Amino acid sequence: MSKTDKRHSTSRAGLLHTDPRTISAVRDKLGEELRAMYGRLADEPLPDRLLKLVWQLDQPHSKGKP
Amino acid sequence: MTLPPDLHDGLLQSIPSMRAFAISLTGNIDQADDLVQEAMVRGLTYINQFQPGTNIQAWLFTILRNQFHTFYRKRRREVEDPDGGIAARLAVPPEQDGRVDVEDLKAALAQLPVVQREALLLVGPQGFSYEEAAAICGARIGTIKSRVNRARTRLAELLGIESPDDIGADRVVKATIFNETYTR
Repeated sequence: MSKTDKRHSTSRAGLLHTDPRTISAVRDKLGEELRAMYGRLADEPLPDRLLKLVWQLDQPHSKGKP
Repeated sequence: MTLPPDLHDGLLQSIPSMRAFAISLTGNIDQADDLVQEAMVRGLTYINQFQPGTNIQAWLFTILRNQFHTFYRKRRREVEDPDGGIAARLAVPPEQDGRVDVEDLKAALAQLPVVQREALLLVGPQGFSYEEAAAICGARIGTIKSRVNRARTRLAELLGIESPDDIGADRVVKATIFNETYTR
């Protein structure tokens, strides 16, 4: 059994013995971590091709119009 | 094309969060940008099908999510990995460096089944209601709740987190004690 396998199997066994309040607190904490990760991704500058889309959206008229 | 101001603003404001969702879903920035670009183009092409007064962001997320699944189905035919076994072996094992590392979190997310991952992302960090997430995923509300619940539990397992204190400075010590206790 690899180190990773061992950690995963022991972790699963451990969670079964954890009380519901602790599980809820762990989930809340993980939720915070996920939101932080997600927030950083959303704050990243957009790549050129998406900026170009934004620029096109900002033009009031399509190219075909006079 | 001239869009009503509220639609125009809704489209613009949705791009960063669509990109965060796509990156978290695919784990690949190039694929994520492809998905966002395609979803935006598709959204603009079919903007006349959008019902005014409904949530433009949820509408765009539905398009993005459907495109991801079309892509995912194609890819799964190329590399069959229904149980995520290959993904698990490819994933970087979490490091016990005192807090949940972003890379650990990404690796753990990547190991979740896709339907659990998308439900967790939509309801968790993206902040959609269960009802909205269910509509986006074309699933029942109870199914979404169940997927989110299983995703959270599995994520904690994958990261070896047993208590809120494990996401903190003493995580290394606790993880060591825990592993010694349960591996004997």
